[in-house]
This record gives sequence, structure tokens and C-alpha cells, in this order.
Amino acid sequence: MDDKSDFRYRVFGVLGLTLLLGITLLSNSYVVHSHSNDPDHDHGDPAQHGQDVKAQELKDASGYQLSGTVINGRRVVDYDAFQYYFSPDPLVVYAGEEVELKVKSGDIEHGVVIPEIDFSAKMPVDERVSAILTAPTKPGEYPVFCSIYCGSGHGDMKGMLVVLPKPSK
Amino acid sequence: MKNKILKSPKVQLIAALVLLAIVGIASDGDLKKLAVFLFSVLTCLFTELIFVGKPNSQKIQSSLITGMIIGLLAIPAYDFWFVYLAGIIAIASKWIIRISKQHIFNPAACGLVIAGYFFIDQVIWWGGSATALLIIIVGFILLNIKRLAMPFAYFGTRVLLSFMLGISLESALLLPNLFFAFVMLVEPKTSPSRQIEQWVFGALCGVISTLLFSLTQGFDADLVALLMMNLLLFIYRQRKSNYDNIHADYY
Repeated sequence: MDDKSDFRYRVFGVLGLTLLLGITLLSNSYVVHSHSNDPDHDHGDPAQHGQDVKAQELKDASGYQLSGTVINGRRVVDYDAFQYYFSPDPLVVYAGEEVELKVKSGDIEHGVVIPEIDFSAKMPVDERVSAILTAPTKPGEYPVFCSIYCGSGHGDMKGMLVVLPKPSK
Repeated sequence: MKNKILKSPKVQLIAALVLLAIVGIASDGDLKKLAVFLFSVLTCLFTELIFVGKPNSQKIQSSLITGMIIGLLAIPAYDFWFVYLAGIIAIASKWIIRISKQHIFNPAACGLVIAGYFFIDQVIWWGGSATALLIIIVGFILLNIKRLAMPFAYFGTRVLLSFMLGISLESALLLPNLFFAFVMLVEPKTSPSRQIEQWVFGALCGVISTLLFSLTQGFDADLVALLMMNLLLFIYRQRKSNYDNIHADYY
């Protein structure tokens, strides 16, 4: 490249970078603001967050609150995702329990992945779909992540699966 | 000497990636991110040392970059098997899948895609969240080494195709795409150096990744598109070299 074309390349390069920066910042701020303030969504309403009112009253000795309700021997939990959190959080189940997660996204599409138990499911916006997971037999805390990029806070979107020891009969 | 090291694009990119990691870790103070980042870097470094035998600064810098990219993309969990496998495959692919002393596939993309077949949804791109930092710092590194045409062509095509396919514009310009285009797409060994070829390479990668994205909604689409383009570039280079050799015989 001669000096003239090198200068031209640099000018166009800087202009292009400035334009890209502006467009990207604008489009990403749009993604966050247009989806995070859903007026119909009440973050404090347990019914909307999949926590059955009866389940709320169930307190385990550890202080954790079991999620969802047990129907026909299987724990059923409405599990929702929003920018940038999961609900209920933590998701609390018993060790070894079969859990039916009825997953749904409240704003844009998310995904739920629990790497330590090799569980992954997409969370569509329009419908609640079922995903079955078998809780680990080892009690403890297992991090939950969003598997579909959902905006600038995606990397920080985390939840927790808390596995409690199975109660003795 | 010190000045020469600081002027090296590889060293500048390493510094930028470290900065991205710091910003990503500081955003929520999650030390698992630091753990996965360091583990990935060490895995790539040691694997490189096994292959290279005698350490040299260029190879070490390359393996550091590969390790950092994998570390910035992988899910920050205490289960390191995915990162371990991705790191080993990435460096091994550089040494095993090579012709005429040149590797064919982008090492980080190769490691992440192959390891991704064994571990589901492990790539969450946590390290690419600092938009301004990426565009300004990495953008100026690319400006200096004259490799900006690829990200520009990639984004131009993504925006255009997203519009044509009815995909929202925001989906074309999300932060993982930015990290992908500014850090991975432009790897010198597996991408073209001539300006016109860079435009074509970036644009085709944009086409493939947008089509794959519209089918899968996953950002692994970018990585798969890059591997496909690496292969196409290799075939193109082989044909061009054969063509040049045949025509050289006439003179």
C-alpha cells in the first residue's frame, strides 16, 4: 500500500469502527430495555415464578424452600427465565428426585444448562415446555447457566440448583 | 527490544484478552470465571509445549491466545473437562491437521466445536461483554495489521441477510458475534491477507453463520461457519497454488 491508500484505509477503518460501535451499543441497549420491563410481569408474585403457594409454606430444615409440587411422585416446577435471572432461584429439589421442569422464557429466548449433571433445555417464549431432569444423588449446590445468548448480561445470568438430602421415611 | 515486544500484534491481543477477562470477572466477581480462564490457558500452554518440544515465544504466544479465547467462551463451572478437552483438541489440531507446515483450522474454534459434541451447551461467551473495549482496542490492532475488512464484511452480510430473512437486527449485532468477528475470524494463519480475499472471506462467513443461526439459534453457528470457511480457504489456496504452478511452467 502506498501512503495515499494507506491513509485512505485508516480513515475508512476508523469511520467503520465508530459506526459499528454506535450501532452495536444502540442495538444492545435496545435488546435490554425493550425486554426487561414487562409490565405484566410481577417479580414478586410466586405464582408467576412457578412457586406453588403450598410449596412456599414447605420449609426444609436447611432453610431452603422446596420448589414446585409433587404430582404422581414427580416434582413439577414452573421454571422461568428473564433477562438476566432464573425463577425460582434457587431451584430446590431432593437428591435423586425426578423433576419435571416446565420451562418458559418471560422476555426473549433463553436456555437452561446445568453442566455438572449434563442437563440442557431451550426455554421458548410463547409456550411452556416440559423437560425432565433427574436430580443428582449427591446433595449440594449446582450452578445453572443460560445457554442462549440473551443480551449484555448473559455472561452473568446464573442460577442455582440446590439438592437437599432425601428425607428419611 | 521492549518496544518491539509491545508493538507485536500478538502481545497486544494477549493484553486485550486479559483486559476482557478482567472486565468479565469484575462484572459479577465470579471466581469460577478466573479458574476456567487460567485452566484453559495452562492446558493450551502445556499441550503446545508437548508438541513443540523446544519452547519459542511465537508458539507460546499463540497457545496463550488460543487458551484465552477458549477460557473466555467456556461456561464458568467447576467441571473443567470441557475446557480441558477443548484446549487439547485446539492445540493438537494445529499440529495434526496441517499441510505445508500450516494449520488449516482456527484452533480455538476447532477445539470448541469438537469438544462441544461431547459436552452440550458449554460455550456461553461470557468474555465478550465489553463492547467498547473490543471495538476500540482490538479494532485498532486489526486496523494496524490491515485485517479490518473481514469483520466489516461479516457484519455487513449479517445485517443484510438478517433483514432479508426477517431475523431481528439485534440478533445480527450481538456481542458474541463481535467477539467472534474481532478475535477469531481474523486469525492470520487461517484467513486471507489480501484485502479483496478478506472481504470475500468475511462476507461468506457472515452468510454461512446467519443461515446456520437462523436454523439453530445458537452462537456455535459462528464457530462452525468459521471452520467451513477455513476449509474453503485451504482448498482455494491449494487450487491457486496448483494453477500458479501450471501457468509458471509455460514461462
